[in-house]
Amino acid sequence: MAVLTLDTATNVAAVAVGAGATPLASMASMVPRGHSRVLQPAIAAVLETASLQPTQLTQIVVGIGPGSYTGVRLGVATAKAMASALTIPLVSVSTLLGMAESAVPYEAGGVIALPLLYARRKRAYGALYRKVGRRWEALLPPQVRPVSEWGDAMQQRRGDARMAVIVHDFEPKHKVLEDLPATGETRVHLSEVAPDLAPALLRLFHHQPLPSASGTDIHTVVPDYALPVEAEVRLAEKEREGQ
Amino acid sequence: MNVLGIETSCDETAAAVVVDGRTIASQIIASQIHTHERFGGVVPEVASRKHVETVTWVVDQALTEAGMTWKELDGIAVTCGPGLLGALLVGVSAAKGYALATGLPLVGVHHIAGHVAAACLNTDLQFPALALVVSGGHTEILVVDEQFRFSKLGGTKDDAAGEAYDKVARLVGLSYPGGPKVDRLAAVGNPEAYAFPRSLIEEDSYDFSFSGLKSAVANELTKRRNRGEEIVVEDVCASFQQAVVEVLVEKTARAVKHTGYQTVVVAGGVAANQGLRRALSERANADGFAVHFPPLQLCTDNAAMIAAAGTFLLRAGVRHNLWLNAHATFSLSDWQAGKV
Ligand SMILES: [Zn+2]
Repeated sequence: MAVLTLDTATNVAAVAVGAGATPLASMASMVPRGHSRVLQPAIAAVLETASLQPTQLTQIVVGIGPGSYTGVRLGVATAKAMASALTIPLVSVSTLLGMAESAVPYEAGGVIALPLLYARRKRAYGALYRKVGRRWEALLPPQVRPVSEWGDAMQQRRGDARMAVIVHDFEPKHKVLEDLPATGETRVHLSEVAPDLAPALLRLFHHQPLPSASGTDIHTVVPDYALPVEAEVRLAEKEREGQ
Repeated sequence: MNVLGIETSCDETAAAVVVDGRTIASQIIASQIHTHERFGGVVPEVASRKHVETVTWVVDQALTEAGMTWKELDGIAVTCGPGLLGALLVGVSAAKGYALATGLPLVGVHHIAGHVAAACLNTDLQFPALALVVSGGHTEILVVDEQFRFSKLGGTKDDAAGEAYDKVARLVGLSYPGGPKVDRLAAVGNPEAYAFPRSLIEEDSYDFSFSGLKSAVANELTKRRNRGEEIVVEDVCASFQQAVVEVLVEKTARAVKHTGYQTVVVAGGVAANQGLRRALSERANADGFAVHFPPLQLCTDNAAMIAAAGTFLLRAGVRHNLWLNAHATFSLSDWQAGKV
């Protein structure tokens, strides 16, 4: 078994390859707008480091967002092409779950994690997960909410969790970190866990049930955009006004 | 030599397999035109999303229809610019994924080079030749040498010819995409009805300008509407088309005379324009040069033209590695210099 994992849905372009839950080789790049060039050379490099031929791959795991950042499409298009040419299954995983796993990489006895990706206008793509042992369960599935609401959402569902972790990609210029009420949780920036993002997908592949597509079903794999295209929103508004 | 072509530069997701740069073994085009129609134009984000949904499917269909597996291919060619960046990136990423998985040679094709290569499909046309490239994004006169290398004689200073068609279509109330509708209406209109300017026709260059013409049409329409005069849309279309075609034909004929090349290849979406086909063929007959129009279905964006161009490049020894990127604006010279 040789599994390739990749995620380009955030500022991080992450690639790993492994035979088991531990990677043989991995790579993460944070070059702004660099994903389109670097992704495939990075895949070739980790395969070479692991002394693997592409044809030896048995599965590909791809982070599908959420987000409308162009990067998510590069990763999904590349993964779909590779899986379909190699005729191997393509496994999809939420980038948010990957962020949670990279922030809580150990066996946990009840930890909740809130991964957040900035979605402009003081909103964030987020999801709430609880980890018991090696497995995550979703308390809130991926969705878009104002950043100010995410903190409360976590508090309400915290239950008896011993620890709470927020992992986010917020920049100072977004001015939203202060919208998150401080409730004693651990805060981690995505850049700190970036090197573990692709290895995290590898662990998820081994410990978590994830949707897998084979054969012609590979064509149907698409990113999770979570938000409609702005032009569609405007068109719908116009149509409503016209009625 | 069997080459797979992939094209996603705008609103069509296309894949094709071409044999020896001449014969189309398969050609699949998934058009998004109906998706974009309701927006009145191409929405880049929508186009990119559609490409991700469709790109691997069209490639699979192209291989199946050609009756080939990856093992029977000799290379992968993909449009790497110019075009909508998010749209191009999907095709380039998929092509790099395929190249990585199969080990096949990869070549990034300039969209215009693809349009020019379309003229070779199903023919025995040989370069060198002159190319008149006319589309929604381009209006250029190029020299294409034996090695399929390009040098530009001139191009538009503002709007592309196809862009002017779409703008005029909107002015007379024709729905998107309006260019072909203008051509159809022009066929039954009076080209002498309105006196629109022939921009840069006197100038001793191969450059074009169409924004002034578009403004002239807008002004004329406003003037007549204000006077309460009836506007005959067919006549507006015919007079506008005459103004565009006259300039295109004159500059092309001049390029033939000055360079000595006796073959002209017409490429791009506007190569389907009946008015241009008729006028340029007449001029070619009168002046004694040869003019090649690709069949109508190969004038619009497709992947067979990318595969054909890719074949000529691979034969000339051009290869690109996995660092290949997509470029929204991209000059032919940068592309040829390997700045991909
Ligand atoms: Zn085109």
